[in-house]
Amino acid sequence: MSHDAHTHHISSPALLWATFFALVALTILTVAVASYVPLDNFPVQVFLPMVFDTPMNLSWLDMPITLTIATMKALLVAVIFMHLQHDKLFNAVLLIGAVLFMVLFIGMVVLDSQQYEPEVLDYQYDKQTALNP
Amino acid sequence: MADAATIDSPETEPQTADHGHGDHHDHHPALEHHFEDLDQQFDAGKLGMWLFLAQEVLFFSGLFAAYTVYRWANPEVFVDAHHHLNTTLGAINTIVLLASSLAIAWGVRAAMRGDRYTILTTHVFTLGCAAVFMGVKTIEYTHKWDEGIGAGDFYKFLEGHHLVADWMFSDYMPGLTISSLGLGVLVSLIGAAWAAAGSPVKGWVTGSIGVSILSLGLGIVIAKCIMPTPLEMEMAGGHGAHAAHDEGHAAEPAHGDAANADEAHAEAAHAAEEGPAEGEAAAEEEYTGPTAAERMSFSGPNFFGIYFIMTGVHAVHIIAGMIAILWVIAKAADGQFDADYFLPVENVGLYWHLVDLVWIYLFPLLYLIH
Repeated sequence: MSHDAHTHHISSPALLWATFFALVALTILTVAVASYVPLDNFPVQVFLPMVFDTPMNLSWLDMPITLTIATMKALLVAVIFMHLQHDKLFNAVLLIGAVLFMVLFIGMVVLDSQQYEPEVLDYQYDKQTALNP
Repeated sequence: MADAATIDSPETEPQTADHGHGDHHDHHPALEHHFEDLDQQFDAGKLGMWLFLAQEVLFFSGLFAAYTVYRWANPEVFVDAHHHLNTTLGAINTIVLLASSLAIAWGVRAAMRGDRYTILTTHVFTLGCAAVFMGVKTIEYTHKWDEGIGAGDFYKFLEGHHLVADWMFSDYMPGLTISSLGLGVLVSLIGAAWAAAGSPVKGWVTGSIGVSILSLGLGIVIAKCIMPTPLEMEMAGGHGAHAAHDEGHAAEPAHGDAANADEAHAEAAHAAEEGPAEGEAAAEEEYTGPTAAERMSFSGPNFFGIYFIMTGVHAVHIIAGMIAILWVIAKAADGQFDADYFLPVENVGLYWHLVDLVWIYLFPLLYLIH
């Protein structure tokens, strides 16, 4: 029953285990960054003493770091566990297309919600003054 | 953890037994008549699965859009509210799901090599992981319900007050845990006995259900060890969390000003985090639950609306995945897969990885807010 024309690529155990441990390590990293790294008062002076001498507020980096780690994990799962690296290109295109449309969708929604935020705030203010004259 | 070894595979039939159903080389029994050959069937089926997964991504994107919009507009509410979520439990659930993903990937590998027994064990292990995940979720959800942290109108949480309700899940949790553990062991043993007695499909399916029930109980136990309720902390001579919980009963209610109340809430949450030592001084003003005016703007009830819908929809996907994996186990135990035909294993595996992918994003977005 050998199919000479068509063989599926079989992942090696070492690759699967390495992927798993990388995923666990990234999970621990993201929890550690969130729990133990004081981003709002980050001691930059320890790392760059010649440039800075006071701690710096880096809390804006929180979401980028979190999402970068999550995306690295997602790529590991998609490329190795879901076998995209040896799969038909079209399947990867489908996934990337879905993600692109998701980004487009969320981006549009965010733009739109910013657009109407003043009206929403006005409405809430009116309602609150009506409740507490 | 799920112990696949609770089930002994009889391996009564040799691996090639199913090849007897007709002429294998001309016509594989799994080949549908509208496909040229198994390769075409495999590619078509897998393409369909990827289309479905793309649809799933777009389906979840609606929830992520709601999350993004509200977090963008009300970052402080998210920071406050996430103190009610236990990061350790979230991290454990992440690792459990990653382990199940590894097992499923391993199962697909086994399927490609025509290794029926490994398909079965990896899938049973995956079911066990999924059930542990659901057990931890059970504790997270019921714990919140007992504290009065629900979505929308079910949000009755007051910092420092114990909710008085006629229905407390924690009263039923010990019974549920013990019956889940006991029933799980019993059903697993029945399944193992059936499998040993020469009915592999019935045996493996029953055994898998048993392992799931048992792992649900294990998940509950794990979660309880990490996040006991304040009452249980007290009974165990507890410390810390409860003291922080109790302080500041006495502030005047109804500040009226939503911003003020928000600040007080932030303060109380902050105090709870810092523990009892500094807490007493910090929480002079106190949060007294969302007033009608506060309900006008985005606050705790809305955050937990998003939380419960996102994690709840994900949990529904986990349950659907467990049913699909059970189906794969039944087919594998029946000897329907071989190195030429394993499309269901591959597709269910892909689905399971997507469920894992969604959780990879949900965990930091909900549990790790700063």
